[in-house]
Amino acid sequence: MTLSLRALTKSYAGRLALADVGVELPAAAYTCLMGASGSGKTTLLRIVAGLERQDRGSVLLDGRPLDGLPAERRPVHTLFQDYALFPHLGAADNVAFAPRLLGLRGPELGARVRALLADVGLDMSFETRKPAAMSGGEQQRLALARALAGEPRWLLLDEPLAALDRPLRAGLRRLLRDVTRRRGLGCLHVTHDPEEALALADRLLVFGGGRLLAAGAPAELYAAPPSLAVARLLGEVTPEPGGDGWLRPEHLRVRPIGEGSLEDMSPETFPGKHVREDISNATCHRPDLSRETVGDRPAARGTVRAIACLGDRWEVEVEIAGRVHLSRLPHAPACAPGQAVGAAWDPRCVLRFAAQDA
Amino acid sequence: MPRPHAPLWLAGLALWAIAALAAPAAGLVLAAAESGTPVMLPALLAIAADSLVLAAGLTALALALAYPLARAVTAPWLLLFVMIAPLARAIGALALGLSPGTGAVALARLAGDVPLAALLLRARLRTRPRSWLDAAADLGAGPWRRFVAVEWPHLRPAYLLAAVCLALLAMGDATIAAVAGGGKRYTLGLALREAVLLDAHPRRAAAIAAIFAAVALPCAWALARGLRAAGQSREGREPPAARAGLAILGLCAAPIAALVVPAVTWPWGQGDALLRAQLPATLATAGASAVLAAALGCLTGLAAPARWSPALLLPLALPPAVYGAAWLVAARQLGWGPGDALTFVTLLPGQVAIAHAGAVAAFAGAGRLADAARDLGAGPVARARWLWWPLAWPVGAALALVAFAHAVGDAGAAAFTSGPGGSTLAVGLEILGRGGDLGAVPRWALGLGLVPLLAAALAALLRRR
Repeated sequence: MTLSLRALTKSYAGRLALADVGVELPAAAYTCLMGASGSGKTTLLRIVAGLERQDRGSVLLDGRPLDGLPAERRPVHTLFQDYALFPHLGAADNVAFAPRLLGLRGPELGARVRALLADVGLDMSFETRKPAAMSGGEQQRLALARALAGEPRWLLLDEPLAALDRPLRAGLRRLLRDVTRRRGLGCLHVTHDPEEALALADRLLVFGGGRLLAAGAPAELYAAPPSLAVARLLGEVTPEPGGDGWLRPEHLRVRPIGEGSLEDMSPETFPGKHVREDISNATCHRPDLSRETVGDRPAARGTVRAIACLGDRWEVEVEIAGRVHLSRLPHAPACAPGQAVGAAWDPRCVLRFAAQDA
Repeated sequence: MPRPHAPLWLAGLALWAIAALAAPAAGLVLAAAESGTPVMLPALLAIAADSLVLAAGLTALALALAYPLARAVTAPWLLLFVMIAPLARAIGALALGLSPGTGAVALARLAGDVPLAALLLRARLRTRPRSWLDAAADLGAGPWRRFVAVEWPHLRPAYLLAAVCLALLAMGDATIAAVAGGGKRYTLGLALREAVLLDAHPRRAAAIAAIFAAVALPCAWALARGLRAAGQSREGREPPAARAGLAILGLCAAPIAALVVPAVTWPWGQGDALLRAQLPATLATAGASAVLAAALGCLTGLAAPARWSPALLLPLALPPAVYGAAWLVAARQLGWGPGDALTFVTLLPGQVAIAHAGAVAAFAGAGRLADAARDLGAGPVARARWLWWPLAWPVGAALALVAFAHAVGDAGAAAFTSGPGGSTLAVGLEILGRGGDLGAVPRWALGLGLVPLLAAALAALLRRR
């Protein structure tokens, strides 16, 4: 069932929360809505759920407008950020809430509840447990089971992983993906975490100031964002040394001057020739030049300011001509703070934006 | 989302405004407009000044004692002490052997005021900025410096609210001043009672009520704000315990404890029979108004817009004596005499305010549950059946018990509305107490003091469900 948002506009006390948002969301696709706090993404979700009313525009499901329907009659269910589990009901009763309203009773209801709990990884021992006696991850699983129990056509997820710690988040992210894929559910998932959005989404919508800034496939948007704002929302960027463009830190490579080859940081994603074998020491040591072009490749020299281990990768801060640039490496760099290094990048990876965006 | 049934809600608010606020206010205004003897402003100002000095002194003392008590005792216990009838505390202070006068008034007032201030402080303490306190300690600030730099600015709004409430209660008090003051202490509340009941001077009564109303309006607004803040602090942690406050709790319990020996040793007499005769009507009036108040309080606490809270809480900010006087004057204008019905009407707004306050605090954040229920397909009937009723009935029952305890112990408003001789237990008890009945008074005062304990035990039982 295609979900269509047509020219949605909403303001609170004169402050525009959504401005003329229009987008078509294909059936059974996992769509992530990204944006900074206050960008209007939760407002959009609540309008689709029927919990807020838009000032203008309409929401359509398979071409049929939902605008006149109250929240309780819309075929969409929400996984709330704080889960909103009913505190007076046990886990099984929370899950049974929507099926009961649909008239399901007796063994059939029990079987569905047990199947859903099992689907999200909660065993029988949870059936009578109240939400207050469950951990954050368990509550999140229960909220997912409850939202799925009413067999919605679309599942709306309002930052469902925000309150969880990193390892738990990764596991539940995979669970979300599996469970929704198996059911062929359309999902609209609000998040401000680029990693979460890039990992889950088939299609990514980026919001800012109540407007839709960009829409597209996650990898494409990451590689070629239409504006600096979108680029920054999707990950860190660093200025192009000596230029007016921007680079992803993993596309800026550094090596100690005098050493051999440079490492290729992203050969799979960008299979162009990244490996720079030809930054000569002579080029890097020219005192009056911080940026050089060797052949058709740009290069520069600078000084390492700091090195940090980020777990699965390393981050190097390099000062080039008075500006600080970031480089991310998949392994420990062979340099130390204060050391002179050569930096190189592929010009095809340089992100360039219109002046007002930059 | 637009509020459903908006015209119904507006009609309800209008009805409330007329019954709880406009009618008594109109009665007082009409009374003030009547020709009669002048107000004698100098005498009134002298009483006001005397009342203010006593109130200021007691408020300062109560606020100083409240902080350690707030750290030592949990909210249900504090509420229990707040709910003990002022009349029981006044009689208890005398039973301790204190002679009527400032000392007895001070003890009777502090036994209720300190727990009330501690209750307000404790709600604020739950949101104490732990990270700032940790940061201050980390930067080398000692306990006193941390209190001054971090804790005090955080607690200041609660202290301010408590100060206004306590000062209003002390100035508006008629019951404790009449029983424990023995004619040596005068308050504005007592002056109001005499203006209405003894001197038949409605203009003076209107002038006193106007003073209270002027202070009560901002106080109700501050109460509503404080309540919202307390509701938002549900996730907050209990403040670290400090045992020093337990000694203060002993001071608050002393007047009630002093009633035990005379209550059990003095033989039953004519006073007991008189009070026993008033018991059924008192229980019926208090019970009916408590049930209605709890229902209205839960309804408004769940569904009324937050901006209505000051109007709903205003009866809580007005001393009972002001309410009783205002309603009596208004009823006379309408040709309606004192009695159980008038007492019921007079007590109801204060009880609704108590229930509303409790419901707002209990149901803070319930809106997201309603959103979740709607999102899962629950219409109004299903939400009422599966969500609101199971959530609201234990809270409603507990609030009804609190409102009941409040109404049973009230002698401030009922002294005006119950009629000559006193048709409620508390008023009858006050009359006997002033008459010096040594047997029945401590016994029944102890009974009044234990009503909150019973209510609290039942409420705790319901809460566990």
